[in-house]
Amino acid sequence: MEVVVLILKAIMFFIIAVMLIYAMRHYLFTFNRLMGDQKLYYQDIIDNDLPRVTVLVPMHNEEAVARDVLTVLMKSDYPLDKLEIIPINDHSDDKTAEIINEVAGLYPENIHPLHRNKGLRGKPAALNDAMAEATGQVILVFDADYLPGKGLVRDLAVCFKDPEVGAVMGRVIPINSPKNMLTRLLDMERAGGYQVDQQARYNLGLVPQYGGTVGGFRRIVAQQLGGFDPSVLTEDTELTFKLFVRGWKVVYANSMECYEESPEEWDVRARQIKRWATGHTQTMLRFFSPMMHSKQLTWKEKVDGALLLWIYLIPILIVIGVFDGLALFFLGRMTLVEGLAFFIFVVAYNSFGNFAPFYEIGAGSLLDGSQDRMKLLPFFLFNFAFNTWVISLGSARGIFSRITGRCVQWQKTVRYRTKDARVTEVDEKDTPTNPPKKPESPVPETKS
Amino acid sequence: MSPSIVVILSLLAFALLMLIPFVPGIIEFSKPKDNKPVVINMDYSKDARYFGKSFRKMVLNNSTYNQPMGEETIRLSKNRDEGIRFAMDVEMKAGESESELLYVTDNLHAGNKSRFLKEVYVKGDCKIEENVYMRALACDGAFEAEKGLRVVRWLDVEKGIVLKGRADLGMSTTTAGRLQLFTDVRFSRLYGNPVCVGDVQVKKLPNLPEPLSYFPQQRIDSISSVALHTKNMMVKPLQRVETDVIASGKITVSQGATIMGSIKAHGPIRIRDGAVIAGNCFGNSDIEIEKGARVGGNVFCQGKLTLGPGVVIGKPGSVKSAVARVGMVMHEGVVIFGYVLAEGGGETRV
Repeated sequence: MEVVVLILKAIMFFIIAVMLIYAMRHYLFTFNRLMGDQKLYYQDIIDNDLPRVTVLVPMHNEEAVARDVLTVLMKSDYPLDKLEIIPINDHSDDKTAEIINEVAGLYPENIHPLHRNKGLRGKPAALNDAMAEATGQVILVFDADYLPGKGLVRDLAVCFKDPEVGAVMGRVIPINSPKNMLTRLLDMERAGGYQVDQQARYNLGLVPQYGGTVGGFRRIVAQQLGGFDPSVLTEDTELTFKLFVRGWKVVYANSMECYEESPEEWDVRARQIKRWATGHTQTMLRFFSPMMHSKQLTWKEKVDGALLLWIYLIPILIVIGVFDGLALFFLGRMTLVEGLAFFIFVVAYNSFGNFAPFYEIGAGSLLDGSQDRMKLLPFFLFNFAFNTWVISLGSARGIFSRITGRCVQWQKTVRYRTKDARVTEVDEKDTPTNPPKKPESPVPETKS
Repeated sequence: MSPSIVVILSLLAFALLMLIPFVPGIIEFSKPKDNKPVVINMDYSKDARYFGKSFRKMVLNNSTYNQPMGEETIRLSKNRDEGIRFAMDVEMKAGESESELLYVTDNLHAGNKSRFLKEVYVKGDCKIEENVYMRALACDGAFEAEKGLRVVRWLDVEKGIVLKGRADLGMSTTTAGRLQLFTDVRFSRLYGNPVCVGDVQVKKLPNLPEPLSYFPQQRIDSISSVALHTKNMMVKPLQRVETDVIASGKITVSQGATIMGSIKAHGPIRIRDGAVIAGNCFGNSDIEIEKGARVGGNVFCQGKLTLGPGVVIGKPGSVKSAVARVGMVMHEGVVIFGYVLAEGGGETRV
């Protein structure tokens, strides 16, 4: 029995130590973002010799949104002689193919459709086939429901002037945030994740993640490293670490913003994050050892890379911690360490340690100029419980699939925009507390 | 009080205290004040001369006045109407002040210590005497100023700018032609074809070698397959390196050496006299480029950028950029073909 208690206490100590490390990481990122030096991204480079770019837009039954994304991409200010767009019709059984062909007919020099009706389904396989056809040095990827602004292609592509850059990630902003409580919370979560977490990782020379859309990578490098693995559910995370382990850097472009749709229903959200958790865990199992042995990385990069790889296992640890605590409680051996000091530590951790992710989310909203939405922060308690459960299931599935060798099917996230609802830019007059992000006027208000 | 009542009251108190933090959120959710997404300007496109072009368009599109002299009120933005004065040739006497928007259909001559408190649009040339203060000016001709010019916001000129002495150039000074600066000029953003410090004759510069392609044909296993990847790099004098160079520490390129690709360092970069970088130069720390060195591509610095005498960035016919986060110093003879951004402020030294 003493051995059992010892093991339970050791597990509890381990979990507390891990949670403490991640809490410190959250605080480090938030403080860096609020008070530290902010690294410049490359968008201020004006260069008339830009690389040839291929924009890939994977589509599976995207008749509601296909025309919009292609039309908007053709309004880009990127030199047309260096711009190629490949919409990938991936086994669609709606009007996606007809719409793609219709728009391609208007811009035959730039839009080169790829219709896939045979072979493996899913985004990774579609991207691999399109890369084989692409002529650009740089590949940019946009999901079909995204609406890139005029200057976004140029601003994402210019970072590849830096020989160390292997991939770039912009910022996604949910456009359907007003819909319901879930979309409002997701909007804030995204702000914390991009505005604070990704930017801080970029500032500190750590590992920003390529997120699979509103981003890009070097074509030949990705192809020579094997392209995307269709068996991994998060091909974006897999590419991030594939590049990172071999010495390339992923850069984050905070002001390169693009609207996206976030899930509007809890079950859709559950499937989405379960997929992310499964894919991330698959990536962790594949890349942890190569990363720790990589000769291209500093110790700082390896430590943060490890923390990033293991992050989706934290919910499992929390669940284990809860049951471990219950077991110790019912065994009457809840006291881990005697003394006031440890008690104070536990109280401090429970108040401030658990607060770290909320602090990060709040900081993201603050940096966006949003104030009233911070009143929703307490609701993240429910979101936290929901995520903990769903991510635990997803991560467990990832471990299970690795052990058994079973393939998990890639699933597309549900779209909500209908073909009659054209999404355009948000009218700034509807955002009294959000200052519009636009270039300063040449003639601002003058003070008397 | 019976124990059961105590328990019930305790539970009620607990529930109330748990509910209190959610009340503001419930109110915000039911009567949202702040639920719209961050606004993205879908039409935003990077343009170094944005201020000048935008102002010209604003004035020309909103003005219906067709006489050479007079006044009109025009709408400059959704919430702003401004009076604008039209004039042909304008001769501002010393110490005079102009408090209205000014549209000059011919030339402008500003006397010593004259002040332009609002934006000015000049269709002809500008001749500016000493210690003139201006808020912002767009000029379709050529612009020449004596020492002491102070631009609060921006200056944009079609046919070239010559600043003969010290100046404070505000947020942005740009021209489609040559931008010539002298000593003690403070700036944030510059754009010119080219930007020069001092009385530089941009003669036919020796041709720069073309940078090597990043995509060699050999097998790529890691970044070391395509670049020289090291901790610290010292390129010896007159040595020629036929690849990109990436260092987790510092890079020193000695006198007369040539790098046929781009360089990137996480530590300081020092490019010595007469060295040549055919591609781009990226530094996560300070970059110092010494006398007579040349960079064929862009220079992008997260620290402080120092450009020594006679340094050339870019080449004729190209548009390249020199960008520095902490600050920038440009010495005499520096030539940059394109754009300059000094986030932390820049200065010239002649």
